[in-house]
Order: sequence, then structure tokens, then C-alpha cells
Amino acid sequence: MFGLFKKKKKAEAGMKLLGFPGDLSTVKCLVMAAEKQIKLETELLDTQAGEHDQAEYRGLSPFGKHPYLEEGDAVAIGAEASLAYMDTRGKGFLNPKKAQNFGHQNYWWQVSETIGAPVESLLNAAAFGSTADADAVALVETGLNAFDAALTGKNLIVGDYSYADVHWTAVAHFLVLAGKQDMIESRPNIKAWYDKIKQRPSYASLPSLEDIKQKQLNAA
Amino acid sequence: MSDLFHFGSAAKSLDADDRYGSDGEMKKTQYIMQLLGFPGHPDTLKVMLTAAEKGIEIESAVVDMSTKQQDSADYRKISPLGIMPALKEADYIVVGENGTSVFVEGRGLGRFLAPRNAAVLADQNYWMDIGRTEVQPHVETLMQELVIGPMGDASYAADNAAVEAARAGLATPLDALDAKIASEYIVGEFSYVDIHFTAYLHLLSVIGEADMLNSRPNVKGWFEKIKTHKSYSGQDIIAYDLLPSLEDIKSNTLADVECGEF
Repeated sequence: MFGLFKKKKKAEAGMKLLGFPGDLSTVKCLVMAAEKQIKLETELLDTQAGEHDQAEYRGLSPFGKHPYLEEGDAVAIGAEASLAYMDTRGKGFLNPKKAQNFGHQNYWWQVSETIGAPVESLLNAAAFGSTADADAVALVETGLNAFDAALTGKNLIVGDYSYADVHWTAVAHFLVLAGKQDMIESRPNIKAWYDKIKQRPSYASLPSLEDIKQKQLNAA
Repeated sequence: MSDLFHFGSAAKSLDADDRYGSDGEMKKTQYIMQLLGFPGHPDTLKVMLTAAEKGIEIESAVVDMSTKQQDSADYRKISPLGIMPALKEADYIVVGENGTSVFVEGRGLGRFLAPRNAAVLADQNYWMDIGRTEVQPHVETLMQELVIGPMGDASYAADNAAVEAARAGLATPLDALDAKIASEYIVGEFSYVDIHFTAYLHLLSVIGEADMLNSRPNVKGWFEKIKTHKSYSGQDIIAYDLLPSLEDIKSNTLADVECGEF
């Protein structure tokens, strides 16, 4: 298991990601890698089978947090760490320079996290036939209503492309894969934003529903 | 519907003698900030600590979580998902600890709190993530069962099983933190993650769970340092001194952040 992560030759120390295609945090990392033009080798961590709770993975990540990103001796665990690591290492910076935009970027990141678990539960229902959380749709609707209102008159979420777009790209993608496209189509500002996001090269590399069902995590 | 941000200097007339800036003095920012938060809420304390580290003055008002005011129509108008705290500067509003902290940092003085090195930044973010998912929920459970529940309802019966589960759940992450602290601060240099754990550990200590800190020598040593750590803004203040006592929490008292004369 995790053969890719046993190679320790420094000379070939590219970035490697251990994650799962149906995991929101992993998909956010795939978006970030593509946006930052980072070449990412990947290996599957089958969270659906509970691999993140097993001893071998806990040896790498004591709390089971994932995905797991490695570059040479440097390690970043979880989306928050991995995204920041890639942003710092890759081309350009995604954090806005203006304090107001930086604040709003992080607020929209927090909202995307707040609705993250229900979004994943909707995706898992579509991909693996599990039962979605009872209040998942209602919570997601509340978040989407706020997001739609905030996008009024905006091109992207806070001016230039930012972390907020990375987070919401993953959320919107999962909703579409979960068969909840109408939640996006019915909100004109989100739809317009999403149509723009879909044109970006980073969107093309995201897993399909079939990839998730087959537990196939493609390299970025 | 009322404007919850209509308090402090914002409630004074524009030409009031004691209004901020009325003497023609201007500090490093044009406007004083206003905070809506709750003294028993970790994310509120994180923002106050960040402001004190950065020399930003804040007028505070309470959104009473013991009566679920964060779910009221007035607060939901500001924060549709009820995320706390909320911060306002002039006509700009931002909600939640992630957004408010970086806004305060961007407006403030002194060194940046986020590490510049990619690996150290990742380490900081990992430990903030561990704090949010492995520590904060247990702290919030203890706060709810032991303090906030009884504040809103004198006959509130604490869920003892939940309290015990929260105490037990804190053991592993606090052991990990104790093993992690090998130098002055959690990731070496002082960073946001120190602010986060200050908020968690302060609340644990005021509600009678100080043993959790004192029994772990590295955590204890780090916390002692935090309590005397002078603000990076260059002002003669200690951020920790702003944090509420148990009595403050029970009486819904939230301090303003005052940084002295510039």
C-alpha cells in the first residue's frame, strides 16, 4: 500500500498526493495543482473503505486527516495545509492583496467548509448508494442562496481568481456529479460563475462520477 | 429588524465630541472596527487576540449564544449561516474567524502572523486544522454543557455522558500538541496556530479543566509564555489579558480591544 510514498529518492522529489476522488479536500488539491501548474503524482487512499483509519495511514497522518501531500522531506496534510503549500510553491499567489478581498475570500472558504460534509454525503449517495444526511439539502441550499447573492455583479468571487474559487469549484463539481445540477442552474449568479469556471483548464482534470465509482484518482 | 452593528462609536452622532477621530487624531487606520461575538466562543477570542497582536482597536458587542441569538433574523441578516463572529469597518463586513483574522492582519501593524516558508506554513495550517476538528468541537461541548446551557436556562441539566466524552476526546490531540511543542512556539515562530490554541486552552482553563494543560509540561510551558507575550504591534499590551474570565462569560461581557496611544 502507498508504494509511491516509499520512494525517498530526493532527486525525483516531485509532489505526490495520496487522496480519494470522492473526497472534497482531494479535489480542491487537484484544482489548485492545475491552477498553479504543478505536476502531481497521485495514489489512491480509499477513504470509502476506511483506509484513512487504518494503522498504515495513521502512521503517516496520526488523526487520519487527508489528503497527504509530500515533496521531498516536506509534508502537508489536509486541504488547508496542502493548498497553502502548493500556493506557495507554485506559480503566483492566490491570496488577494487587498485586505477586504482577503477577508471575504476566507469567509467563502469557511462557508464552503460548512456545507462540505452535506455536499460529500450527496455525492456518496450518487456514487456508492449510501443514504444522504437528512438535512443535507437544506443546509446546502442555505449556503448556495448566500453564495448566489454574494456573486451579484461579480466576475469571480472576490475580484481575481482566489482560494475561494478553488473551494467552490470542488463544491459545484460534486453537486453536478451528485445529480444536483438544478441547484446550480436555478441560481443565475452561481450558474454564470460556474460557466466561467468550467472553461478553465483546471476543471478538465477533475474526476468524473465513473472515476469516483471506480476509485480512480488521476494524476494532475 | 435592527442593526446589530449600531453600537459604540457607530451609535454616536457624526459630530459627537468623544467620537473616534473627533480631535483630528488619526491612528494607523481610519476607522475603529466593531466586533459582534460571544465571550465563550473560541472563534471570537481568536479575532480579539489577532487584533491585539496587530494593534487594531475594536469595540465589542455580544451576540448571546446562550439564547441562540446567532440564529436570530437580525444576526442572520449579517451572517446567513449564523457563522460567528462578525466584524465591521466602515461599510465593510466580514464574518467568521478565517475571514476576520486575515482582514485584521491586513489592516494591522507589525510582522505577518502566517509563516512565509511553505513547509512551516503547511505545518501551521495542519495544526490549525487539527485544532478545528479535534479540539474545538470538544471545547464547545464543554462550554455548552457546563457554562452556556445553564446561562440560558437555570434548570439546564448537563449531559454528563457528552461532558465525559469531550474530556476523553481532548486527551489524544493535547498529547499530540505536547509532543509537537519542541521550541518556543507551536511551529517554531509565533503564528496563527498559537492564537487558535490560546483560545481553546484559555476556555478550558477558565471552566475548571486546567489540569489538561498543567499535566502536559510542554503545553504548560508554552501557555505560560503566551500569558506574558507582548503584542507584536509594538504597543505595550499583552493580548492574553483581554480574554474573558468565567464571570465575564457568564455575565455576557466581552472586552473592547484597546491598544493605548500610538
